[in-house]
Amino acid sequence: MFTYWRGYEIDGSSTAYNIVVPQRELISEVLRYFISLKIIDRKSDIFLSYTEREKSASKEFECKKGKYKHDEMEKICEILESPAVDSFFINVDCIHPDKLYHQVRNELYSISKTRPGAEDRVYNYINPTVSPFRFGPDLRVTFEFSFEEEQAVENHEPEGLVFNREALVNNLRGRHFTITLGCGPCFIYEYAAYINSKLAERFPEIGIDGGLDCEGGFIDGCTYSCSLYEYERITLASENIAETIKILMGEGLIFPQKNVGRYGHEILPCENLFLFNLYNVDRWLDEIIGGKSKALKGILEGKKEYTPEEYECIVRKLSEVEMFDSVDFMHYCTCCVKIGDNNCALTCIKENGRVWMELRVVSEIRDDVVNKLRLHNISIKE
Amino acid sequence: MIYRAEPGTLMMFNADNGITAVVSGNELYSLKKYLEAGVENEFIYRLIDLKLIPEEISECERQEILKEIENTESISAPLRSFAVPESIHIDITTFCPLNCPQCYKDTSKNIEMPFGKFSDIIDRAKALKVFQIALGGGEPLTVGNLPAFVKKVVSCKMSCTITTSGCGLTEELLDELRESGINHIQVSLNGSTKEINSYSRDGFDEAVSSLNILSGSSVQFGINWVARRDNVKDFENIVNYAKELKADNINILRYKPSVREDYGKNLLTKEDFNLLVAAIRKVRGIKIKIDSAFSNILCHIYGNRINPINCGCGAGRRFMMIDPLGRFKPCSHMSLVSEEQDMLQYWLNSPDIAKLRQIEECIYGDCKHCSYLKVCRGCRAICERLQNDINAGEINCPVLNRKEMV
Repeated sequence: MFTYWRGYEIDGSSTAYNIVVPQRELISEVLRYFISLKIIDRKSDIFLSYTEREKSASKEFECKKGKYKHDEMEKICEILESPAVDSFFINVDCIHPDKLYHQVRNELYSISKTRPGAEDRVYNYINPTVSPFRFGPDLRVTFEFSFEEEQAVENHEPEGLVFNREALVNNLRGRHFTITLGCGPCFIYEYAAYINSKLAERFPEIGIDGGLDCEGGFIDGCTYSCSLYEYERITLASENIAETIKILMGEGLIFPQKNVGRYGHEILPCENLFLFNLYNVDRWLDEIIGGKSKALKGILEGKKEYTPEEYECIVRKLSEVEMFDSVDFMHYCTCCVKIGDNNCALTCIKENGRVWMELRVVSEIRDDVVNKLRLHNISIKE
Repeated sequence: MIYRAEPGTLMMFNADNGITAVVSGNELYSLKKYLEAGVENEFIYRLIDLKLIPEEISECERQEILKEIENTESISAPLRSFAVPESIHIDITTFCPLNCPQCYKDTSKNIEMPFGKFSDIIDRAKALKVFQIALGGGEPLTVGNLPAFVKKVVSCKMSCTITTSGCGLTEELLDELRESGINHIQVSLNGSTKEINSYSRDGFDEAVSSLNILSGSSVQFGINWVARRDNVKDFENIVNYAKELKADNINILRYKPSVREDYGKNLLTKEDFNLLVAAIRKVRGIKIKIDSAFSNILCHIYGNRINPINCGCGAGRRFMMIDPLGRFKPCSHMSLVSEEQDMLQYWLNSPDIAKLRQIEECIYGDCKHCSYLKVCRGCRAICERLQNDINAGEINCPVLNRKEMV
């Protein structure tokens, strides 16, 4: 067990306690640590909503919202620590795996082998990545704290991933505060395990449970459905994008696809390259993604299918937009192409001011694709 | 840092940041592994970040902590108490130049604790590994060599705080206290205006002057504010004033009986109490502290979620008090004075303290039937004064929550 409190003894006051009790200060400490984790994106905004009780024992709550930057944590913690705040909820984004520092990336990938049920899987990856398509990883995670009025305590059996089991059961019995971390079905298992294991190690007085997918396990359900290994990145050495695409198409190595239908779920062959992730860009709202949709609409001007030359031209224009980071750029340049029977991606990446083409292929066919590229004298960037 | 064994638990205290920590079980094992074999983990980094263990630990410190960890297996503590006091309140003088209506202290005789006596007490406290020393009086600033008192405490690694009316604080004296290592100064003020303050206290100008001096310094400070019927509506103004000064905290003290006043006239009504709690809940941007006699406020806000270690009367369980004659008491508000000479013997064996540790079994009246008994226990000093019995329950507590109604 570990607990601590801050304060100096004051004469005449017979031991003074803080109104902000250690449990609430602990939540503040946990939040600060959570936000500081290396997989949390410090460039994204923190969305906060909370309920505040006007009077003691009053049932009247006021709901409030706000948006903060990461360097405004003091303001957020001040709200959290107020005894008038009964529940508190923040949304924050994680960093895309492609943008993680090398050390953190390695640490995340090493977690895969500990995934229950996946012990026998072989991870012979070279340059793995998540799905590049619009239904790729959902990297938003929520941090919610609330008072739990109903207590499922005595017979509570923690399920899923469990850390610090004894602390978990004791805390539930003691009816202390609850912190809930939430994520969407397309969150990455390794990210969830990373967050939970870091919190558990740092805060042994906190019990953690949860994490089962909807199939009751860890690898088969739609929860944590986004895999770190789904695709392999093959970066091509030529900077002549249009010419390279013409060779790939001409030799029958890739067949462009487009998405159709109201929600873009149907994938059909097409003549030219189709910007897969931007199929509904006309409906994007500027305020949601901070001005990016305006920039995109200005460049694309309603066009979605491109010849190789037109595609290269668009890619060059997109590469000059400063507000697009490396993941944005890759995401917007992504076209779906069929390689064999598999839907893969043709996209571009920006590195040190230069633009490179990339194929992101289903992991199982990586070696085959590399061999075919070499056969057609298409060089691969090592 | 000070490390001290309690049964099954290691307690740690850093005087620089005022953090007290309790480590037991797997976490204690984790600390032990770090000290013995250098095994690091996020929990260890957290202890380092909280400055509970040094980043670069000397061999001497390592051995000291390991020895205390070993002692956790054999040390014993009295019922519901720490093995030794966590803190000691010491009144170093009875003299005060003011004449506050609400004062509960006997200032008829001018008694100052000799430095030699004080020094012996501090040496003993150091040997016992007490964490904090809180100095008061009378008016402690009237003690001529006050910086020497502070220096003595600080040299023993304990934290040192002073509670004062502000009377006599100058920039020069504050500099000396700062150089002596004072950790915190608390100034008593009961109103944001002279008029409101004067209902219960004297020396408004002196208090304000001292707060201005403190505000311009690097010494951490706060305001002691006694909640009464004649100033409860002024609480928000005091909060705003404290925030303007950039005070660290406002400590809300419960009004206690004084020989100079009609206690019932200034006691908070239930409406006043609720008004105060509502105002407390709204405060942002400054720490609010609560006198442990006001634990019912914590119960009201947090219900049974409150942890007993951070609530309830601490007299005889967490702290004790020493008067200018060197006599021991559980709390300065109580009349129970002891002639015992040895601090540890008093802590372990005093019948007065034993009574306070058995309150849960011996209390009667409303408190006995309240669901918050174990975390609150009411104010024994008030009950002793009003009903002549420390086991008497509170009367008309606005937070009473009868068990049969839960």
